[in-house]
This record gives sequence, structure tokens and C-alpha cells, in this order.
Amino acid sequence: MRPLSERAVARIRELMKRYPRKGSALLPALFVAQADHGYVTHGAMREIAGLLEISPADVEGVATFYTMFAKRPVGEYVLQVCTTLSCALCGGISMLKHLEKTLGIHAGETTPDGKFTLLPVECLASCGTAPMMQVNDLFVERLTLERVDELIAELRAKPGHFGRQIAGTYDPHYLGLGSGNRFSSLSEDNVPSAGGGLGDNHDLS
Amino acid sequence: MPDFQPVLLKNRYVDRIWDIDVYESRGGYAAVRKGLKTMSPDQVTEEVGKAQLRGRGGAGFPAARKWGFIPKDLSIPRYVVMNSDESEPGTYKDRQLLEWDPHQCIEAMILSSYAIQAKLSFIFLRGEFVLAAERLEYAIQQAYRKGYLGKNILGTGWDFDLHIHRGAGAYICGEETSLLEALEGHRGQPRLRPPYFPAAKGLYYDPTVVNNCETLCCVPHIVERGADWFESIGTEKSKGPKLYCISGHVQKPDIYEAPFGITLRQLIDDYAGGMRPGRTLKAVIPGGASAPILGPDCLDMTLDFEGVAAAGSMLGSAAVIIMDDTTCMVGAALNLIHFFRHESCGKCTPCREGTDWLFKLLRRIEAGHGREEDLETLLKLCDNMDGKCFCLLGESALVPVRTSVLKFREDYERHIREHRCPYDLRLSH
Repeated sequence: MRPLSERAVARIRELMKRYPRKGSALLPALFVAQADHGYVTHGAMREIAGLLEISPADVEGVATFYTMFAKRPVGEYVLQVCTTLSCALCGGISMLKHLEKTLGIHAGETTPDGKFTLLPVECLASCGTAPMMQVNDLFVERLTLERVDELIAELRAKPGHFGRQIAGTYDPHYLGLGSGNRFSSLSEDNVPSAGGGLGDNHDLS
Repeated sequence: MPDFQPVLLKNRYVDRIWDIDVYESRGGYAAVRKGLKTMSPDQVTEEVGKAQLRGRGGAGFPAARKWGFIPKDLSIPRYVVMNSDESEPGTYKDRQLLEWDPHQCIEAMILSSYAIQAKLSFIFLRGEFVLAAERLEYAIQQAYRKGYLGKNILGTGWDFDLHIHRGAGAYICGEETSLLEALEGHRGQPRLRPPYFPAAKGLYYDPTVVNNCETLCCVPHIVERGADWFESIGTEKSKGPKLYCISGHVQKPDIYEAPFGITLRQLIDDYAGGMRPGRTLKAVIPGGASAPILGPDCLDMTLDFEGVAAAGSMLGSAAVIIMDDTTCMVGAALNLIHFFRHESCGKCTPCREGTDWLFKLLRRIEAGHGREEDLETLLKLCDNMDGKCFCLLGESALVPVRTSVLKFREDYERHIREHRCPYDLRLSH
């Protein structure tokens, strides 16, 4: 397997043109690499270093500094549960514990079938719609334990088509802009809609 | 609720407002037309100065003064960077602006970049804001097609390119020099100051204006409706409309736009539907996790920079976190120090080690294993960090701990006396 697909390399070259200095494209390039393989591989980091003309050590130093870059494989669905104060005040911690029990794993682990990775994360700027979690790229807000159960059941029944950071490519077609919901089976009942908050993430059409 | 027409959130519930045709049908890009066609770059800066627009990111620094630091010699490259790395716990206003009204953000970037004659600018947003990134990318492409971005914009001879740049999960990148490091492709760690402003040495060590998303979004409205209108809203020193993010134990947590200077009581009762039934106010964080925690006696403070400072805290990002009598203040402090410990960039020792020590002590107290002398150790640790950290992250981290120990000592003493947490609501994992 090549470290980066041809498409990813082309995309990185395109992104480099945005900046006066090539090195600036490092974060976007790492997102592209992650979308390519589901996580950032050592080979990808070395190839990016070559493209941007920086040292592989610099690339690895950056990739390990930021929390959004996965350095090992993650589940089809990455559940990032916000545990910071505003969500915790509204039951975010018990939601995390509930998910640990439901999925049979501890926070930070992936289910043996590779379906779910459960991560407690710091504030996701969704404090008015607490408690919430991010499922891959999607914010799912105003959750209750019942709603969490429904969501897990739905995701279990549905193969995950989307990598952890699909949007790292910035490609409108790839992103599904204009092509409807990414989680098409999530009806409006499952994903809270606007109603005074931010919960319209399901609607990209 | 006073009679006030939303300004920044006026398009909040407009269907497909992120599409340029819908945005233009609502009067969008009129400010860009007016600014670029009838005003010189300096006139735009002057108008923003006259409006007394102050930074909404936390410091409240006058925006036009920042812009004024940019050298007049146009041979030196210069940039505007919108700081939308919104990660301060309790704050969720920039995400609202980016997701729901991306063209307002683009208009803001065009006008502020025109004012300092930048040819290239960036919107820096949190990596987690995927929907916002998608909508902005889409909106920027539309703006290029309509001629609001690109070469010779509206026949002015001014060329301007705008891109987004996503962070990748690091609170420290809200600190403006760390943000610039991230934009240059490095680890987000703060730069040594002085120079105090990126206006002197910013992106690629060239002059750079870094402003918060909400601050810049005020600019199109100032250009379109005039400084006098803007200045007529708010209090004596805090002008204009303000987005208040209220979260925690209120009935209707949400973002509310109001003139600067409403009181906390108004925000809770008139806007956010009051406390939950049968519950009383115990503690308030008025400006994000870095702001000193206040007790229930602060209800009548005005929510402007001066009013919150007079009450002993800071307005910060106007992220108001409300805690009622079910809240364990040890747990709340533990939750916040967990955050700061996780987000410390590791560059300086007082922050890296200090947040870890505070975390361990608080965890011990919360678990019921605390000792009486722990409280003095906590305060001493805070003193040892205070004024000694490399940047504001460490300086902020100690604030919630210190103020919760000083103001809610009884909660701490009960944990130590009873060897357990006396509250049901869990705030840490």
C-alpha cells in the first residue's frame, strides 16, 4: 500500500498553493492523509515531509501535538463525548459512563469489532445544547440516554461509510455538499434540529 | 426583554442563508460595496475607531487601534487572521456565526483586509468545526465567482485572496501567537512577547491583525450603518451588540444577542428562562473557564467589560456558565483543571507541572481522600503559578481553582470531613 494515494498527493499540492510558504500546508496535509487511511501513518508523514520540504521529525512533532490526528486505526464511528463543565453540568459524565457500559469498553478504547471508538474530549463549543457528542464529523446535540441508545442501535445496523476526518480534503463533492445528509438514516427526530440552538448539522443539502 | 433588533444574528433562522443568493437577497454584501466603492481604507479604520469597537475575544482591546499599528509601507506583506479557534469552555458563539452566516464572516474579512490593504487573509477555525469549514469553503467559492474575492475587486484595483485554515484540536491556538504558529505549520505553542502585538511581527513575522470572529463580524454593520448607530448601542465604554453564551443550569441555555450592559439577572430570567424549578443559584462563571468564579451575590452586575471587572471577575468571551445548588464546587474546579491540564502546551514548567499538581490534589479531595492541609497547598500552588507562566493559559488555569477554594471553602471542607463527595451530580470521569 502506498503511503498516500495519488488523489491525496494531488490535493496536498493544491492546498500548498494557498500559502506563501509550503510548510503552512502541514495541518491541512495531515487531515488529507487521515482521510486517506483513517489515521495518519508513518509513511504518510514521511511523504508529507518530502512534499512540504520539511523534516519528518517536524511532521511527527506536529502530528503528535494536535489531538485530532489519530496515530493508530480507529473505529468506523468515533464517538467523542464532551466532558467539560457545561456538558458535565447537564449529565455529560453519566452519558460517557452509559456509553462505556453499552459498548462494553472503557473510554479511549475501540470495540473488538472495530465499530466504535469512545473518546472523552474537552469542550466542543456546543455548550448551549448540552450534553452532546461528535460522531465522526457530526455534532449530535441535546442528548438524553434514550437518544444515545437509539443512535447506537442505528449506527450498529449501518456500515460506517465515513472516515474520521473526511472533511480534511475540502472537496465539495467528497464532502457531500449538495448531496444531502451524510447520515441519511438519522431522521430529524434523532438529530435535534435548530429550535434555538445549533443542531442543524445533519442538513447539508 | 428590551426592544432590540438582532444585528450579528439577524440571519439566524433564515433558510439556506449560507448560500450567496439568499444572503444577497437579505441585503448581504451591501457593506462591501459601500466600503470599497465610497470609502478609502483609512476611512474604514476611522469608522471602526469612531464606533469604539472593542475585541470580543476576551481582552476588549480597541480593534481600530490594532489595525492602526500596521505599517503604512505597502511593500511589506500584511495579513488579517480571524481567530475562530473557539475553545474556551462555555463559549459557542463563533461556531454559530461561521455555520449559520458564513458570508457575514467573509464580508468582515474583506472589509478588515481592505482597511489594512492585505492581499491575503485567513479564517482560522477549530478543526472540529467541520460543518463550518464546509460551509465557509462553499461560501468562499461563491464569493470568488461573484467577484467579491480575487482580482480587482469591484473595480477598485485591489486584489484579495481569502482561505480557511483549520486547527487540529488545541485550545492553546486561541492564544494569538500560538494560532500563528499553527498557521505556519508548527506545534501551537506561544511566542515570546514582546513584541506584544502580531501587528509588529505576526504571520511569517510580517505585520498581522488577529481579531476574534465576533469582533470582525461587527465591521460590515459599522460600515453599512455608520459608527454613530453602533456607538448608540451599549454602555459608556462597551459599545455595540454582544453575543452572550449562557450554559449550565438554566431552563433555556442558548446564545442571546443583546446590547452590552444587560445585567446577569436579566440574562438568566428574561432571556434564558430562569433557573430550573426549585433550584437556586450557587455560582457563576461570567466569561469562560478563565474567569474568576462568582457567588450568587453578583446577579445585578452589568455584563460589560467594566461591570464584570467591578464585580471581581472578567467578561472574557461572555460565556456565562450557571451552576445551581446541586453543583459540587470541588468537582467543578476539578473538571476545569482537567481541561487546562489537558490543554497545557508543555512549553513552560509552571503551567505544565502546576496544572498537573492542581489536578492531582483536586482529584484526591473529590475522591474523599483529602487532608486539611491540602487547601493551603492548593492556594500556594496557585501563587507559585501566578505571574510565572509563559502565556495566559497557565495564568488562567489557576483562577477557577483559587476562586473556588476561597469562595466555596465549605464545599472543600465537607469533602475532607465526610471523606466523600456529598453531591450526586458527577462532574469528572
